[in-house]
Amino acid sequence: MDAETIVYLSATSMIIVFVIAGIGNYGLLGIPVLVLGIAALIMIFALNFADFIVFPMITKSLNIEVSLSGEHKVPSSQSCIIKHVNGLYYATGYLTANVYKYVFSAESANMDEDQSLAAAPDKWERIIMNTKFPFRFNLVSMTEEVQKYRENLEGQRGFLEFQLSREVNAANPNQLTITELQRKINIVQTRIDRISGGELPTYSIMYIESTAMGVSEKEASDILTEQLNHLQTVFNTFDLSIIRIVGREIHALHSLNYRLMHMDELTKHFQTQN
Amino acid sequence: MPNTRIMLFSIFIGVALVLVVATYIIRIQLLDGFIAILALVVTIGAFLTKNYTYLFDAVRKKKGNMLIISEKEAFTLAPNGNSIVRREGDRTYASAFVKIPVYKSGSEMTADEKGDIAKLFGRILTLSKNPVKISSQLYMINRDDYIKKIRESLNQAEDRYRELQSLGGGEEHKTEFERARGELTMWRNLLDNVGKSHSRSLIIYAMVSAEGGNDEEAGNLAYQRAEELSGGIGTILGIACSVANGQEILTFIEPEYMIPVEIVNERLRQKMQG
Repeated sequence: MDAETIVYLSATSMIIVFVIAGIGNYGLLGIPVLVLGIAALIMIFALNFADFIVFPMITKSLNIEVSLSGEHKVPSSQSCIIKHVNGLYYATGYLTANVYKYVFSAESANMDEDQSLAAAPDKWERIIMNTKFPFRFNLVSMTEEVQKYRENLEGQRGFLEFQLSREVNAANPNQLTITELQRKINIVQTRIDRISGGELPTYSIMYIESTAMGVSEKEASDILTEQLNHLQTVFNTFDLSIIRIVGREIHALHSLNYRLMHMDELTKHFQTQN
Repeated sequence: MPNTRIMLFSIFIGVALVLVVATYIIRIQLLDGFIAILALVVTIGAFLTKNYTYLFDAVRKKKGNMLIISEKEAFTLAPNGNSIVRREGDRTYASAFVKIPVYKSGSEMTADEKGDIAKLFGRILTLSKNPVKISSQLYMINRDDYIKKIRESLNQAEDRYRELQSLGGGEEHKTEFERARGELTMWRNLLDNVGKSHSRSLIIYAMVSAEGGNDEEAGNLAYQRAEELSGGIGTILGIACSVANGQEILTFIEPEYMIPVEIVNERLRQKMQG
């Protein structure tokens, strides 16, 4: 959790706790305020960790749509973007394409990694041959300042070394903890070595989008769902996390068609991978 | 935007705090209860500023159940014709697109070449300090135009074949004759099979953006970045890239350009017959 989220959660939770603490002052409204207070607390945490569930639930129950521009709107399901042109409806939906977290081992050539890279073009062409509708695979990347990234890594390494030395000098050192800390230090050191070797730190976001056409919103939306389900199946071969995107992230992804955001803005909307 | 968000959060939290304090000072039970409920609502509003500030103005401009983020066009073409312009609030952004014509299939590459092409694309990601979006787009094409091109190529191949046939079956022309016959067979097979399914095209492109004081400034800066990127990608991959202009740009942005009118008409005809 980043610092901003901690500030938001703690400030709002604190106020709700103060409200609940004053329950004795509210007379007949004491119980309703208590119930609403607990509900508000749950809602805030739900909005923080699962707003892709909460936001569409609210818009669907209140039948709220969002107009992104003169021709584009997001229906109440918040699951796609609809464009109405010449009496036809075009629905565009999105899927994540996140790499599963794992550790690179750069000290020695990883046979599996080279084999994966060699297999990638064939897998990609098989997907193209088996897909009979329009789609787009997108990768947004940005490089970070090398010095800032390196200082960050050195800070991490320093902290891990401090934890390691504390554990080693402890009265009852835990071997598992020592091994784990040494492993983390190796990971950070490998990254520092790669930066020193000339590689640039790069952040990226990958996602897949597809478009379907129909004579009604519902038809376009249903065909889009079939298309996205097909893409989820075929892209599994790449060992990526493919999940349909719903909610406010769709609004931000739509604007990426027209202009790219700076890293600060992108990391506010999405978590990046590096 | 970050300043607006921080300002709104501060205002909401401030108001919520004042309301909470009021419940401890004012000793009228029912009134305290209503103030407490109002404090809870304002606190939720404070938390919503974290991710949903852009919707606050949309709520103010709403029409019925439709929240209005914008009713203007999503973008316009820049004066230089080589980029698109989008205005968000008082800021002007322009984006330009670089076409990356990669025609080699994985079936033509060795295992080493396949691994290399993946690594080369990795180098492209670190070419620019600014964010870059690389997209691979599969879209439907107008089959009539495609068939016309195949017929033209077939006619040329037939002319060449007849010309070589009329020269006799001498040894000096044998290789060329075999090649001409193979090419003729290939175009005939392509023409026979093209009608069996919708025709598709795959294109790879890169997108860069720039911010400027007006349309022209932003457009020129975006074009300049695109030109630099085009040169860099061309050098890495050994191909001739170019910046897209005019109508070409629409293929990368607008959903209706991914599905041509011919397919739309065919689907409508099928619906009416069905």
